[in-house]
Amino acid sequence: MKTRHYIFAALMFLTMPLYADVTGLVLDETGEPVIGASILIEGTTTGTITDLDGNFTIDATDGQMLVISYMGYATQTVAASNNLKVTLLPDTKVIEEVVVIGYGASKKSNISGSVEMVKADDLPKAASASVGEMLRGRTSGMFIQSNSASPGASQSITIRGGLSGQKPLVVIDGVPQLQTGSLSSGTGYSGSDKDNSLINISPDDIESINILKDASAASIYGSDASGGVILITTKRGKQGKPEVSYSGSVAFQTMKDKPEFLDAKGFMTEQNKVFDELGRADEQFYTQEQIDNYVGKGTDWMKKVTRMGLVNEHNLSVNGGSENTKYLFSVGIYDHKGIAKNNDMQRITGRVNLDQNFGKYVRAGINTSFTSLKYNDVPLGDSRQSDAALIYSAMTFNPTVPVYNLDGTYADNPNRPNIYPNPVSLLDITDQSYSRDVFLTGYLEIKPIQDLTIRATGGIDMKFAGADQYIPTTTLKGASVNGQASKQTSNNKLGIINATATYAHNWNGEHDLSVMAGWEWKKNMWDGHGVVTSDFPTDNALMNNIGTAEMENPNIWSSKGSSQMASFIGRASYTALNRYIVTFNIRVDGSSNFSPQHQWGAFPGVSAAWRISEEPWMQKATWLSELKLRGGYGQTGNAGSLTGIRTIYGISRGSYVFDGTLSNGINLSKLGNPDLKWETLSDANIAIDFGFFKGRLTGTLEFYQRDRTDVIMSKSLMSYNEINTIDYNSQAAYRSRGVELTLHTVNVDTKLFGWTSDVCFSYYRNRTVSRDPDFLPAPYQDMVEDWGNVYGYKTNGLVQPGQDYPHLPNSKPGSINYLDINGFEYEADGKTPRRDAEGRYVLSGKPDGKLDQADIVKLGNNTPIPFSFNNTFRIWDFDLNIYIYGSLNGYKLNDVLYQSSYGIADLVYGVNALTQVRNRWTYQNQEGTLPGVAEANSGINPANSDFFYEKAWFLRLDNISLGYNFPTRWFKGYVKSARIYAAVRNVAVMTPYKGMDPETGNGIGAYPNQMSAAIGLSFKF
Amino acid sequence: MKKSIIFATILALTVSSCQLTREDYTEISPDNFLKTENDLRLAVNALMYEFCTGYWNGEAIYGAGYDGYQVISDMTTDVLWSCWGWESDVEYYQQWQDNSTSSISGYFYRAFSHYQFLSKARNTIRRFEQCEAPEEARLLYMAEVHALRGWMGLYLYDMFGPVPVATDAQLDDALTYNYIGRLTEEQYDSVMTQDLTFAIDHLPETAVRGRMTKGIAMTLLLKYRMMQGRFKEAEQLCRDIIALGVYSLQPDYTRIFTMDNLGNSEIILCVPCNSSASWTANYMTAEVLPADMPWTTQSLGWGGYVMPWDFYGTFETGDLRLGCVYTDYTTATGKYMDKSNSQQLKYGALPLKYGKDQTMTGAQAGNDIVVYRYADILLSLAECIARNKNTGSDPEAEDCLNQVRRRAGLGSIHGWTKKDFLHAILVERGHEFYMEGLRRQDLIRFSKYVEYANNRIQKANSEGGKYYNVNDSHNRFPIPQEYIDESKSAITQNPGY
Repeated sequence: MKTRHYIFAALMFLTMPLYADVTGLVLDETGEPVIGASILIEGTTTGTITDLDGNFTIDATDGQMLVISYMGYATQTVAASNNLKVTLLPDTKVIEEVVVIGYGASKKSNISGSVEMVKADDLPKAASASVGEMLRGRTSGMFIQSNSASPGASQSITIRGGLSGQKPLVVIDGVPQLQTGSLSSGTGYSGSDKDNSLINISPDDIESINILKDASAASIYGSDASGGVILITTKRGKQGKPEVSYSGSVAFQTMKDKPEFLDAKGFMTEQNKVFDELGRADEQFYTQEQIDNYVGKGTDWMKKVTRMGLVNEHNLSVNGGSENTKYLFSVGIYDHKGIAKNNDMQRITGRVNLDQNFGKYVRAGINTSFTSLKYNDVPLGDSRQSDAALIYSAMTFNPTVPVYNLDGTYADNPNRPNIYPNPVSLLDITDQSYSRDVFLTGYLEIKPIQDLTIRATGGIDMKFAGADQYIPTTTLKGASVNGQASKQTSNNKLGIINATATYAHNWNGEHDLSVMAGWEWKKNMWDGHGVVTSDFPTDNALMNNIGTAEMENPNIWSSKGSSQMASFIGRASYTALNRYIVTFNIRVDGSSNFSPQHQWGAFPGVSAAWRISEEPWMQKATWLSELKLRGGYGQTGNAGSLTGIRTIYGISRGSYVFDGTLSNGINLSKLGNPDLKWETLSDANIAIDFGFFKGRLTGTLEFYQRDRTDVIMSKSLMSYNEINTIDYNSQAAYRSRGVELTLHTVNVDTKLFGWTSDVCFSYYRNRTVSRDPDFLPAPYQDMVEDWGNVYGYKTNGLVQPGQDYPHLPNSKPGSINYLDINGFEYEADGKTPRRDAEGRYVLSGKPDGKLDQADIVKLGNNTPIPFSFNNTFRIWDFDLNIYIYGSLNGYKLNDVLYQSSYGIADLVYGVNALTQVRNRWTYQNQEGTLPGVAEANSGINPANSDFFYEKAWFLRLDNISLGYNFPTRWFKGYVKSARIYAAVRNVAVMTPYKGMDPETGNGIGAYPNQMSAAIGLSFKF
Repeated sequence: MKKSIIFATILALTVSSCQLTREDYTEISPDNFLKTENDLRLAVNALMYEFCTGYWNGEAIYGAGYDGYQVISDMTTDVLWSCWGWESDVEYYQQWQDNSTSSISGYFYRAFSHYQFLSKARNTIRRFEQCEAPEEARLLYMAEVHALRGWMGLYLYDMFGPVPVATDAQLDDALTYNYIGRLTEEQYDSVMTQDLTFAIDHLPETAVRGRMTKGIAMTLLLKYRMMQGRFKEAEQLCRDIIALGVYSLQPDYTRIFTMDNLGNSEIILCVPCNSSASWTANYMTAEVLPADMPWTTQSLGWGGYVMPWDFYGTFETGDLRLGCVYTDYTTATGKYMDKSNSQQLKYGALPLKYGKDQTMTGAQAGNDIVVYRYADILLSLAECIARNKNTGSDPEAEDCLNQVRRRAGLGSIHGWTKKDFLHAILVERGHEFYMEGLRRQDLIRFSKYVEYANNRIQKANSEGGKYYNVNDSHNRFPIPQEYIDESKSAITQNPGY
């Protein structure tokens, strides 16, 4: 290869015109030609770029200095001479990443707290609307779980076990994002809970994401940071000619892991049997002859309400600029047609980032982004009977019924008419919601003297959300109220202003000091209104002529409020000899959530690091490329969401009817606690960063302990009180302990083939370590208790004929055999249960013929053990990514089976059940392992036992993508890079859990999981 | 640029020096409340929420669900049942054994939780005593609150017997956990008597539907005295109520409950309904109405509750009170339904007592829930006289009973023995007040509540049922274990649980 290039280059030289003053060749460190490197004559604007073979020609005179630069490589300045050959070396400063740490940035090597960095380029983009979805499993210590598989569904993101119970703070370009709740779309039905945080930013706009995990790093965000901090840096304009980037993809989605319900014949057969088992054979709807002669499988309701999902995505951005003005514009569209019919989500994003220098001392910039989200929702949820939503009813609706009657109306379930909505009729419901997010920030940066930077940032985040719903009279629910409409809006606004002064100086490369002080003020404002009403003359106008409703007492509401916070921030960071690092953070926050005397709280953080690998005595160890020992301690606060410092009255709407008319009332609604104060999270963190064999194996191992004290909780007062709760600082203490491991290995790195792997693993346990003095534990509960424990009765199969248990007086054969394993001890009177010093009942350890709280034991724990394994292969111009993530622990109710099996008697009402219920116990099938019809009368809910619980660890093969990077020489320099890829998402799940999905599937009505196949294209020119 | 530094500094200092405030316009500060007569009325209105019909929430006691006051009081007796099995069978056969594991223990929990109302009402009264509103208004609304406290006190006593009542000092110190036990019968009696006497003394004789009146307070006290077995005082109360001259029997039994006759002179206490709000609608019709039975244009039936055939069979022929009880119907598609082919009718007849409300939307009807009415006063007086005079043939008592019987199209009763007369009253009360939630206490007063349950159990068991017999402990419901635990066992369980 090399030789060929040289020959080619040599040929080029021979054919060069002689008037060209200077010619040259630019190569990279491997000897490959560098295409598009820029050559500029120093001090002039004359310049050129290298061609496909790395050659350039420039009109320069000997002795002029040429500045040769290329992204990712160190800029070289060389004297002009003919036949110049320049070898560019990778810029170690670029590889030495700069990490955003809140109100500033730091070299990665100088970081002493626990900060994790993710580059957006490393994330698979196909069929993901939210960067949250893409980040799943990518970093250790951050656990992201989708709450539903529906388009744009919310995710719960917890950093380090989520001990604080708060969501992570999302900071975009230095300005915190507004945290708002989801607007539920109506009162009749609701769609899925929406992601309203990370969904507002287009993943394509993101340059990098930094996660502040421990309090020594996060304390700079003080009381907002108790859930951790996610710092997002968006892409910015770069100096140079305009660069246009496009990326787009299309993905097809199909349903996955659909539970199998009975078809028509099976349904009729099982229904008849259940009638038999209930002793009501005389009520059977079908004769055996009817069943035998039934043709076909009946209506596949799931098929009627689902379709192939389709995700379309296009992003376009332009960036460029001069030395003084840099810009980036981007637009993106993301369109998701969900696999449930009528279920769509559409997002349009736009962004302008502008940086402008005003002379030598002043710089300013604007970041603006706009996000418009539009949803068409379908009713979701696990409600039963007349409230049954789309998926629930499609799963359970009588399969012998056709969709329509002969007259075109929706067919009803003849087994129990007028109760269960026809699934297809639910598609007539209009449910539209939207959210518009305007995020506007600006900064002004002044450098009055060298080393001192003063920066002021102002920003505003405005969210306008609305939700419209109409339930037409063609649905059961709509018919019963003659059409129901709702319209709601909610506006949220966060205004922020902050100013920081940073002094940074480096003495002889040995002492590096950075001191920052600043101040911040925030105001949060909200208002909203809505109306729900019914009884419409026609369905035609949907919710768009709401005044025509004839309902007597429509539900109308509005609200408005605001809160404030002010803060002082400071940080000092000192690095000596490039290897001894110490950082000190402090933030003093004042919040209007508290009374004036308790408004202010101080949250310090300190951390230190020792880069052992930089010690002179370690230089001989060439196998070691990095070894850094870090430790930190810090505090963050939490103002909580409970704001009960004032005793207040509230209006209860229509609290009673007088003479047929609803009248309002006013009652005491909250008991104020003026002593409420900040709760505190204290973190201790110890970590090792390591790198071996020139970076072939790098990683981080972290240990942490987090304590949550003065927890703001709602205290339950004795139940006789007028108000039963008060917000207070509990004496309970929570603790989280965990370990996190991140590994990055470069397994193979040759010119043609490369293979890198990333492994993330975390283990943690949250635990209640002490309790309020008034706390009365349940008999099965320990005073020190792990979070995520699942308690319940033990079971041992089913009750068989002839077995009669005194503790199960209502359990006939076929019901679950709950175990009586323990009993209470009694005082001398033999009646009063004995209590220990903590007030808890004392257990006798012996069965007592009663099934009660004494028999409840810990069945399992569902704290996840997040794990991920990412592999990237590079073969010539192809790249291949295989990504697996999951949790190594899980304990979960198999909700579909539980509902189907426990509700087996509902078959007689025409409610369909899983095919698995064939395996239920009956007198004819005494081998059956699922409970029979008798269980429903046992008086015990099987969800309170281990019967339907299953281990739910899982590993999901989440992404396989294969990309091809077109060699740029194909495009003769017009295109800088081009890539085409194909990806499959959610390929397979390995789990012992037999319910719908160990992550997203809760209940029969859960949005079905899907597998996506995508192709995408991206290029830059 | 220096200017901007100075500006930022000044801004920092100004903002931080001022107090940070939080605003919420939906909150009302105590500084602005309880100043006017209207404020007092609003405070009373809010208290009344707990007496609503809200079907799903345990906050309201007149719901039509299994835990509704009237439903649990009838469904644990011979007059009401449901074809839904499950908890309705637990109630019908009284199959609750203890306070924690029974499938209906949640009902007891919600019922007991209303003992908090006594504190709410007490605090409201104390706030009224101290507020600036005019004296006359304060007395009137305080009397209303006293009546409501008596009403809820009666409900709790009916369900559980005496419950704990916190003292003013304990209420003022909400943050301290006081482990208080139940009052004794005497102490509870004193609370009830004080509340209701105050109410009787200060309430007007008439008011719009929903507001408290003298007659209501007297009736509540009457019901309490009947439960206590203090028939002398009860007799006097009956006479006092009659003497008010406000109430009279309606000529047509079925029209006591209908939409076109709301607030008629027979009704003493009702929970007024409004079908437009889910928590104020009357669901008694929906609970009974089969889904496929043609009713009103927008109605939706749930098809569950029935009057068991055994009880239906005890009515004398020609009893007009069966006018709103259906034994069969024809569906919209023309199918004839009776006990041979309807799952619901197999269990019993359909007591659609409230009649058709043409504005019924879905399950929500607008008829007022009838709580206490004049016929009860007449029958109570008849019973008290018989008990107090120890005779079955007192003419006044006979007349009271016969007024009710005549209205039902039945013949009069004369010259019976005390035992037969009292039994006739019990039978009459069953036929008169089915679906009105009086049956449980009536049977308990006649010591028949458990006996009748065991009769039902015996019959069911002879047909393959597996129900266990119950005993007298069932005359009171069990105190939920949660409350016993919370009080560190200061609250004692009712005997037998």
